[in-house]
Amino acid sequence: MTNIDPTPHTSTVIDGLSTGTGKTVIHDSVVSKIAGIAAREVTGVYALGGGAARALGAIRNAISSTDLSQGVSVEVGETQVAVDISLVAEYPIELQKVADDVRFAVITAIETLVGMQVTEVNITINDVHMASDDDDTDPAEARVQ
Amino acid sequence: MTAPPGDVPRGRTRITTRALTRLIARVTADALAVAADQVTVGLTDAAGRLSVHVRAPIGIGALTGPSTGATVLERAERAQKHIRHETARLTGTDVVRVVVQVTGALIRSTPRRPQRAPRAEGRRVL
Repeated sequence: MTNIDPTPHTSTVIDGLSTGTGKTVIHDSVVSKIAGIAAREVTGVYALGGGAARALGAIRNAISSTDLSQGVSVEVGETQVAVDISLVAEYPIELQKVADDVRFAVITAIETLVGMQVTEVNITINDVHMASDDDDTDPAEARVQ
Repeated sequence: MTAPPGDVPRGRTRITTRALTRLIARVTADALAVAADQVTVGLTDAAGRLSVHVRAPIGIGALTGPSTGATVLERAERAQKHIRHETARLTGTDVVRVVVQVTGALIRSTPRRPQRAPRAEGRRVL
């Protein structure tokens, strides 16, 4: 389990990509960012991350420095990657379908963009977002105008 | 809550109790015509399957208005089937039973004037 912090010290040297003329290093943060971008584009994903991460994310959004790897944690080996993602799904989507779609999107993105093999993508759906959650206006008040 | 193993290649899917609770509360609320925050959801494990217990009032149209045609008992029974079906469909969990406990009735009076509209919840009668 690798924690995602702004300055990750862990990185991976991919043997397959190293040639006699140098080596390629891919940071964990690159992998988690790619996974995050792929996951948040999936239909039915409202947000990535748990409660605390999303509260912090709201502040980051306000100062326009969105953390694209929010809710994503990766474990990068020599040639393989394992990913854990926590997300909030949009009601009324089928949760298993969202999870499968996210898993597919993340695997595709990492394997094509990074070129490492994905062993597993574990997904935690920690909340469901209802459209009515954004509705702060009192219905009685809305009727007045 | 974990998805049935074997179905999903390369990784597991976990649905937290919070997500499950909120989803069932919403499905119940829709079925009983009340707000989701009026629903209390209890989840218990029944030998690996999900047992659901929901407590909520039932929303009823104005008693003087046109009848909806179904009795409270019929609606509760329909809601029970709906909750069971929708929970299974949306979460992919194996729902063994759903208990619907109707705790009261919310009579909805239609607002007469736009101004000074009554609260959307209407009157609560036990």
